[in-house]
Amino acid sequence: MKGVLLAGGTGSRLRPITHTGPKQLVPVANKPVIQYAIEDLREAGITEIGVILGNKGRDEIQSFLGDGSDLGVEITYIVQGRPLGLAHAVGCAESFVGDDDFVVYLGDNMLKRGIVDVVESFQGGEFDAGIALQEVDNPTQFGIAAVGEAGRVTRLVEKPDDPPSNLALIGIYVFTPSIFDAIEEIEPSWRGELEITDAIQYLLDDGGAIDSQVVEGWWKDTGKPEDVLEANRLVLEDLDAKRAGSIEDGAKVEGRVDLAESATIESGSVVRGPVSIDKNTTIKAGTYVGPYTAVGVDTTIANAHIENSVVVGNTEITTSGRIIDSLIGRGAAINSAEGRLPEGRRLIIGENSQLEL
Amino acid sequence: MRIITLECPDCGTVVAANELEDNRIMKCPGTGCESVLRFDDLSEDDRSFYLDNKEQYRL
Repeated sequence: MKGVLLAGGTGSRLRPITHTGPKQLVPVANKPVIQYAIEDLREAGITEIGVILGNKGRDEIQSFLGDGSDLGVEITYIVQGRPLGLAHAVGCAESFVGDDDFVVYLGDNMLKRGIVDVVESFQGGEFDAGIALQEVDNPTQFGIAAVGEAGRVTRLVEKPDDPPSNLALIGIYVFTPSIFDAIEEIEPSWRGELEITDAIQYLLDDGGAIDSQVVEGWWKDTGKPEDVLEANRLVLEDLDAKRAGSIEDGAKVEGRVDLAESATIESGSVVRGPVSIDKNTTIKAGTYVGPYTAVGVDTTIANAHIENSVVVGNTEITTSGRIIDSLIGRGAAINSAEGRLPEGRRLIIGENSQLEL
Repeated sequence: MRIITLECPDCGTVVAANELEDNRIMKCPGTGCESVLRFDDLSEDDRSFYLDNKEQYRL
């Protein structure tokens, strides 16, 4: 079995963070989102992975993933170019997939319990496709599956007014090569995209058997800042913390704190886990780093109070203010205005930034 | 919808026809690959189908 990992999209809902990089490289607990997907595929025994690239962030994604060997997989790149829809992206993978079955994984999705159950369920029968589902509270906002006996899908409907169930498609699919024939038969939707739900519905209408697996544990689409913070909180909740870095006498460190080897927590600071602190980062005196915070590489925090936040990296924070529920992009500086006149906040803010002062 | 791609003969990187048509001649986007890919490398059938149906390959 092979894997096809979608790494396109503009990341418009994550601006300004995605002005300078693709959404798939936004870190959650100091690890890019796309790495979680690669690890899930590898855990399911899938090491041949085709990565679909769009028009944005190609170089950064290729620079991070390389040939995949650092992550224990073998990567082939597939350039989709224009975002013509998920089915178009899958169709572009036909020559890579060949005669194999394959998993399609959206590269900005995260699952607590991986995809092993989905793959095993598909392999347990003679199916033309398998889809991962999860119960949602607001089914009118999702693609919804109607499911019959033994998890067999009977119908798919996009954002229904009258949902046949509360089981939403979450962006994990298993296909046989028959999906390529279905894709060839469908036409772009009203929004000009070739929809994967239309291709699966074509398989159903053609008498195909579609398996489903309801995924246990959390699932997050990390498309928006609040989703990144939520995913960060969920991952840190299960953090396997190693205090490899330096903790000075006089620093107070409580709970699960993952501290990279070259990171330092200086005397006079308080860090209360779960927290992840990455390489070459220093937490200086007078700083409080509170639960559910991930601080990226090459960052200095002094005198600040920060919690439930993601600091991407290469950042300086010296304000004495309290920072909560924040996503702070690479290279940002948040300094103190104390003692400066006239009093006030001095901001240099990029397009699409969001501040609550 | 027919999806047309070209596979780099040297590294296996796959490029969609819309990308090839935009660039006409491009360095293979595969990591470390020095091959040159051209829209004209597609089969004549693929090329003419793409050009006859160009609008559906544009969002």
